[in-house]
Order: sequence, then structure tokens, then C-alpha cells
Amino acid sequence: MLVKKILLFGNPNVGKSVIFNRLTGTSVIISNYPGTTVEYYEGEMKIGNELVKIIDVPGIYSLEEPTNPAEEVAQEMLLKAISEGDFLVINVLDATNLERNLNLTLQLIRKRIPIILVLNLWDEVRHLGIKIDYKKLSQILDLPVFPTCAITGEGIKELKENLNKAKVSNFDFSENERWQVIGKIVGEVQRITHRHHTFLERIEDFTIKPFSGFISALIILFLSFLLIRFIGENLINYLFDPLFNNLYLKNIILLIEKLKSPLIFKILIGREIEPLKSFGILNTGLYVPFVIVLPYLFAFYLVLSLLEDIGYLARLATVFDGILHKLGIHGYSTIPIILGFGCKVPAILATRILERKRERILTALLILLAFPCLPQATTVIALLARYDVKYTFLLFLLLFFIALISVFLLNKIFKGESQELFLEIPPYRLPYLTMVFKKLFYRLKLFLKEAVPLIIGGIFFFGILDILKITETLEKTFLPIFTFLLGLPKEIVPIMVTGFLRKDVAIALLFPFNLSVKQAIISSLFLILYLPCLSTTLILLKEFKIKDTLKIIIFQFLLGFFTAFVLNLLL
Amino acid sequence: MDNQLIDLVSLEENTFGEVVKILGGCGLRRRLESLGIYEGVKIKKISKALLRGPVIIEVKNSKVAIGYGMAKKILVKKIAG
Repeated sequence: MLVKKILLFGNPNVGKSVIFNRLTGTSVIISNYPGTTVEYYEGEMKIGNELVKIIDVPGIYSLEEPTNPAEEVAQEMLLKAISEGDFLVINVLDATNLERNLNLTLQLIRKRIPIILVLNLWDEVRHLGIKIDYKKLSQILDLPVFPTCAITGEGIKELKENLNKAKVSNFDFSENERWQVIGKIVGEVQRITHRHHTFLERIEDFTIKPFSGFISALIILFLSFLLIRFIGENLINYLFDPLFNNLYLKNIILLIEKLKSPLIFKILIGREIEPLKSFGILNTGLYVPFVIVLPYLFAFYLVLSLLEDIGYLARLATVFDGILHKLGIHGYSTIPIILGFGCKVPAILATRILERKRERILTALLILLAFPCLPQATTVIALLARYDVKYTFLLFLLLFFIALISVFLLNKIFKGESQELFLEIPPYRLPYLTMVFKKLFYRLKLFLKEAVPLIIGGIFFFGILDILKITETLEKTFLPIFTFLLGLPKEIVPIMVTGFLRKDVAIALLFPFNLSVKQAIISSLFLILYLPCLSTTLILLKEFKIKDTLKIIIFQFLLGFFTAFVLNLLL
Repeated sequence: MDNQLIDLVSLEENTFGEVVKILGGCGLRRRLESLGIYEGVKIKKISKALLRGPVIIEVKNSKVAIGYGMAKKILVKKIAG
């Protein structure tokens, strides 16, 4: 047997995960490193008849004292491997950026562990007019070096066949002069012929400069939303919803009716068969996560993975960093915020990429308050379409500014420093579609594993409350007070309960009432703000624990109520 | 060319500079160093900050976005490209 474990080390954006995928089979799992929010991939590789574990260590630039969670995890993984022994490290380098990448390599060499070097993106080196003498590099560093182009698979076979060549390097250098040593090595092995600015590089500059970057970000975001909506809606209307109703629901109802037990029917199906009017575990419990959330999540993750692999997400974070700093958060929050336009569930999950709790909570609040999710927005637009279009704009602007002001004030009241953005802006590259889809698949799998059981459990819990008539009592005692204070008809009360399950449906249920413009605006604003939907609440609980979740929900409720109350007095 | 020190925010777009001093503790130095920014390194300013957003520089053949507050702590002197 070669070794028990292989660790893949490398900077971010060097194609490390593509190499990982080339080496592993289908048995890949994505997990969170215990006690952290850092995700990493783990898989197995067949060498002869043996299975070797391969870990795709989070991309890092340095192994010195860690300055962020990804570096901490990478450190720990290496320390663990060293203490267990019987492992080797594949260090993947971006050959087009040898100098910066060698920094990590020298740090790895210092650890006196068996290493193999991989110079990835070898095809691009040629295009960019760079010449690298990799044999000389191998000689200097006293390590085996293999050039690869992971996307086409070039060089992977040689790498696989030569894993046993990994060795502990005897290259010696003075730690204080690391960058000088690197400069000397690069000077010896690399020649750059002069070249002109390519068209792609011009686009790169255009999308990052302050003004043009902002405009192009708005256009790219808008187009992304159109695409996401198109994919999401069509998947629901023509695939998921018909499949659920015709293939599944009909048969399961027939099956349960055969049992002839009204109690079992009530527990499993609830008040009504239609999933969105009930709290049954077999209809609503499955409909909400699989028919409502999953298709949109698929569309969102697909577009997100594409933007990520092209290299656009880092630019987006940079463009919005200045504005977000005013709210106590920073450019990294851009991604969760964008997800929030679609569905709050993956958005809250995505706040994991933020390192500090304060930033996560402020971002979560902004996500929950600033705009309704896509299905809600569509319904609100339809509801207000009966009146002048200016009311629709008024409502959305109002929501947006209330959110900005609240987060701005919260940031001022609860003092704390927001982290500085510091990231590499990768060059644009064509996405490798196999990888995009694999990543999409892993992310959906993670959602199914982490969020779906919660949602189903939550709906079941509500179903029980419903059977015990607890929700009804609550409805009758408390909610009429609110409707009275907000100047809304009493019939809206049951809708507010439905709203907890799925807010766009609640808004749609307002259609039959003959609401005045004022009532329509106030009730949609209230329904958008008053509570996060059930799925979102459960995800909040999972991510922020009970205390912070309660704070978020109470804040949201008070804000929703007072805004609606003030509007009722003013309009 | 004068040898006056200016911070990275004030360096003009499309000009070259050499990092002379980093005003900050070990943590900041280490973070910057991991992406190849240290005292003595040559950089090129790519784009300035809008609304106190990040500054973008090119260092060692790759582009790096540096938050406004951080960029203020990096002192450079202008050099000829």
C-alpha cells in the first residue's frame, strides 16, 4: 500500500478541486470541519486494489499562524496527518502564477513531509507566453513536479502513476528570506515573453473599476435573476408540482384512506389534502422542501456555481464592499444577500462564509428585511397590479429603506469592528461544466441532509399544534388585536397563520378581499415583514441557536408591526 | 521622482509603487504577506476606492482587493514602471 491518506494543498483558484475530482471516484462527500463553518471535500482513490483517502484541504495562501478559519482548518488537517503518519501531500500550483504559489510550497517543505508538486493550468502558461522549466524546478526544490491541465485531464495519468515518487525535500533556505528565495527560483526557471493585453483582460478591468464595475454588476445580477426565475418557475410548474400531485399525492391519499382512521389522516395529512392549506407531514411536509424550495435552490446554485467558476464572485464582493461597510458588513456578504432575493433558506445557510457572528447576524437581518423572496415578490406585484404601479415601487422602496436604516442603526448601537476585505481577484476563466454540476449536486445534497429534516419536523410539530387546537386559540385571542390596530379586516387573521408556512401563498390569499390600496399595501408589507417563514425560522434556529434567533424574530416582528401601524396612521 | 511616502489609497491609478512600510501588528503583516505583500515588494495600482471601498493592486502577477482601512495602513513610494 502506498499511503493511507493524501492531502491536496494549494492556493484558492488553482483548479485544486478539478484535480481532486480527477483523482477520486463518485464516493465524494462534502462536510463541515467539526466546530467550524469551513466546508471541505473528502473522497477515495483506487490505487491497485487499495482505497486511499483523499482530502481536498480548503484553499489557503499561507501555513503560518492562521488568520482565518480556512487556514485554521488546513493547519489542523496537516497536524493531524503528521501525527497519524503514513500520508503524502499533493501541492497544486497555478503555473501562471508561480511566484505567489511557491510561498505555500516552501512552507510545506519546511514541515519535512512527503510532497508532490503539480503545476496546473499548464495549457494557459503557453497561451500567456510564459516558459517554465519544470525539470529545473524539480531539481532546485528536490521534489517531483508534474505539469497538468486538469480540465482536459492532461498529465493526470502521469500524476496517478507517480504518486510513489513523493518525497521529503532536502531543499534548505532561510525562513526570513522566503520571498527573496522564491524570487531567485522563479528567475531561474521562468521566462516571460512580452505580450499584449488580451480582450479578456480588458473585460476583467472593466468589471472591477469603481463605476463600470458597479454598472456591470447590476446588469449581471439582473440577468442572473431572470435566468434563475425562468429555471425555477418552469421546474416547479412543469416538473415538480405535477409529479408531486399526480404521481405521489393521489396515491398516498388513497393508501391512507384505506386505513379508515380519521386521527391518522389528521396527523399525516392535516386539515386538508391541498399541501398549502394544511400542516400534514406527508403532504405539506414534503411539498414545501421538495416542490417549493428545491427547484429554486437548484436554479440558484447553478447560476452561483457558474459565476463562481468564471471568477466573477470575487469581483462582485469587491464592487459592493464600500456600500456594505456602511452597514457594518462587507463584500463577502454579497453572496448570501443575493441568494436571499430567491429564497431565505439557502441565504441564511450561506452566511456561514462570514467569519464573525456579528456580521452573520447583521447580514441575516438585511436578508430577511430588505426584500421579499422571489415567490413573495411575484405575488405582491400581482396583488398590487390592480392599482397604480407607483404603489408597487413605493412598497419595495419602503421595505428596502426600512431595512437599510434598521441595519445601519443596529450597527451603530451594537459597536464592533467589521472585517476588512482582502482577497485575490482571479482572472476570468471558462467554467468547467462537469465541476459546476458536481458542485451543484454536492450543495443540493447538503441541503437535503441538513435542511429538509428540519423543515419536515417543523411542519409535523405545527400539525400537532393544529390538531390540539393550539393555533386556533392563538389565532382567536391575539391576532384580532393586530388586525384592529393595523386597520385590516378580521378575515385576514387565518391568513397570517398560513403566512408562517409560505408567505407568498398568504399574500395570494388576499386577492379575494376587496382591499383598498391602503389596506393592500399595509397587509402585504405586514405579511412580508412580520415573521420569517417556517422553513427560514428553522434554519435560523439551526445556524444561530435559540437566543439569537428569538432576538432576530422579535426584532423583525416589532419592526413589521410598527411600520404597518405608522403607515396606517399616515396614509 | 520624489521619495515621499503615501498610502495605497492615495497612490494614483496605473502607477507603480514599492511598499515601504506597513503600519500594523503581526496579524496584519502576516495576512498581507500571505498574498505576497511585504515591505520591499513592487506593486501596481489598478483601481481606486469608490465610497471607501477596496483598492485593487497588482502584485506578483495577480490582482488583489484590499479593504480601505487596510490600504490606508500600507505606505508606498512611487517608482517608475
